[in-house]
Amino acid sequence: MEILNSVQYFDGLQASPQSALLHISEAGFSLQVAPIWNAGAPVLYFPKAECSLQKTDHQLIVFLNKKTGAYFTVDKQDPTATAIIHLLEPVEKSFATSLFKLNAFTLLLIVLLLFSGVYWGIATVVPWAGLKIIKPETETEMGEKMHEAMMGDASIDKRKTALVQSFANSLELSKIYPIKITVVKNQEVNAYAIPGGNIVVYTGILRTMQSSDELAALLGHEAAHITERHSLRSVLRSAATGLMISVIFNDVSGILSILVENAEGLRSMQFSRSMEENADEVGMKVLVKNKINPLAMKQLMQTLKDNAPEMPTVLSFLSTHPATDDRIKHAESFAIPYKNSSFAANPLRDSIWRELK
Amino acid sequence: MEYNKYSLSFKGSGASYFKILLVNIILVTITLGLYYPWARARSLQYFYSNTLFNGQAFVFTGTGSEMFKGFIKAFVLLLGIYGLVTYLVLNEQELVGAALFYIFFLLLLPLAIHGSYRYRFAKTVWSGIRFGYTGDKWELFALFIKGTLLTLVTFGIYGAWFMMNLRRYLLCNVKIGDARFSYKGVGGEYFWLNVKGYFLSIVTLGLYFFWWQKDLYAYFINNLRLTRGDQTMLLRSTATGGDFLVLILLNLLLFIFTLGLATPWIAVRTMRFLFSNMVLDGTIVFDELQQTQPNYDDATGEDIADFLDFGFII
Repeated sequence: MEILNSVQYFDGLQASPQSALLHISEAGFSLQVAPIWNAGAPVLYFPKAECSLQKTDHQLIVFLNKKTGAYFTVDKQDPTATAIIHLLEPVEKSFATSLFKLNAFTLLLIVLLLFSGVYWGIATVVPWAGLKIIKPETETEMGEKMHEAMMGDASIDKRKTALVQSFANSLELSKIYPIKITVVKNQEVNAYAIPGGNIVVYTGILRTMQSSDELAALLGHEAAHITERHSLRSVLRSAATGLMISVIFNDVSGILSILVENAEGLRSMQFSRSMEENADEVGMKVLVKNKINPLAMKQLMQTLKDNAPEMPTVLSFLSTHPATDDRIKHAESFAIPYKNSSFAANPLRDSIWRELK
Repeated sequence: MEYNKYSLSFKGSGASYFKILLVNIILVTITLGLYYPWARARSLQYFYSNTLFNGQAFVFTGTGSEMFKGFIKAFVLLLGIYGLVTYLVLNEQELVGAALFYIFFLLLLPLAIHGSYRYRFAKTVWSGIRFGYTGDKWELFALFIKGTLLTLVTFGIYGAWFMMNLRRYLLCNVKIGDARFSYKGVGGEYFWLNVKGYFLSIVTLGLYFFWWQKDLYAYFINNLRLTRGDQTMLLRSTATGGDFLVLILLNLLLFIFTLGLATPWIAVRTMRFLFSNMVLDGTIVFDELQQTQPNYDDATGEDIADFLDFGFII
């Protein structure tokens, strides 16, 4: 390898570049600051181990010595360029270099594929890990605090609370979570579940319902939100999305705010449609287990839907629990296999129901 | 002494920068972020090598592996802070957590800026001559604490003075070889410039905003100079409010109609705009610049500043 060529040499002492002759050997670079090579004149020698290479759009920059900062540059098109690259980067080992050979469109496609892959990964792993890590007891503890805060200025109907509580106890709603009922004096047709075990029922919805089976269906549905950990699932899902977004936009502080936002989000929880359907189904299983016709779920939805237009108050139960025709159909088809099962009236629950009315 | 006109230009293109960004994103993603320092080095090298002063390109001599060391240190440090704050918030110590968070960043920021300036300028080379930052860590620290506290008690009014003091301190300590930068902007002027810009923008339903931007840019450029012994180089902005209006609106439209894909083109045309609207002249003979600034390899400050998205422009 005997190549002689003219390069721009920066000696790292003064700003003006100098024209120098470059001689490349197996061991390194020799430079002579002169227009023609003179065997007798002094030669600067730089062993290749101390040199490093930077490739820019237009030229190669060869750093000769880290301490002095001396370097030389040659045009990328220059015949010596390949020899220099060969000397300093003998094996084309860089994956980046092969990526640069692709066109922008292909690269964009790869980016999009990678992002959807990462999104899918995060959206699967985060909820999975979250559900494993967060214990039901922790959920109950947090839910208890939320319940306390939410009941701050509500007027609680103690008598009805006790009645609905014993009604719920007779249903065996959950083996893991302690189901605790609170009846609030409020004309709104509303009921909701707080993660960890609390169910809040408004007197408005109690008045609208027509049978003890409908109450069982309502409690079954709300308890299912708790036992299926729907709140936690929603939070984890949106946390995963938030995580992805803040990773893309390279925003560390975003991760902290996700935590804060989701703590807030728990309060105004809206479940996805599939979660509502899941709660209906699990609720109906509770009904079957208690020898109640699962069609009570359908009746509950029908009652709430039929009463909807006449109700002057804000129908929050209906807006957060859209009793769509789809859900009614879904409940209907779930009940078909139980058409011929025997269902027994439960004297205890019936007497509680009469007292409530 | 001879009077010279100098040129500063940017010759990068949106297409080539776009490709660099895509390759960087792919590599950062498949290495779960570990490649980031190398990606950053590549972007910086791209911008430097396409910026020409007097026909001679700048060189960024920093490397991915240097920045990787800083990256790991910065990551561990910030993870520790966020971990502690998260722990406190989850244990109902929100106030303690928030207070600790702000105090910590108040203390960390000047040190990160210092480190960032030291590293970045030591790695900035033009024509074989290194830049350098000669500021003192604790002087900057004192300036920062004083500025933050006074800004707080004056409900933000002192911010203009703080900003100019900071800018003056930082820029007056930047050297290229044996030439030194200086900045002579002051808080009072900067404050009234912003008051005027703010109120006229409201009165003109936002139209004056572009002239306000022009004024801010000019206030930065026109007050900056480089001196070497008795030689000087002066900078002057020639951009008009109308120029800024066209630049910003076009950038906005480009961004919206390409759903952000035009970001590299926007970055490139903004660089071009800033450089082409600048006149540099004076008596400095750049060929005579001498190497005086030492090398500096610790990129921790640079990486912290980058994590916090603090940027580099002040």
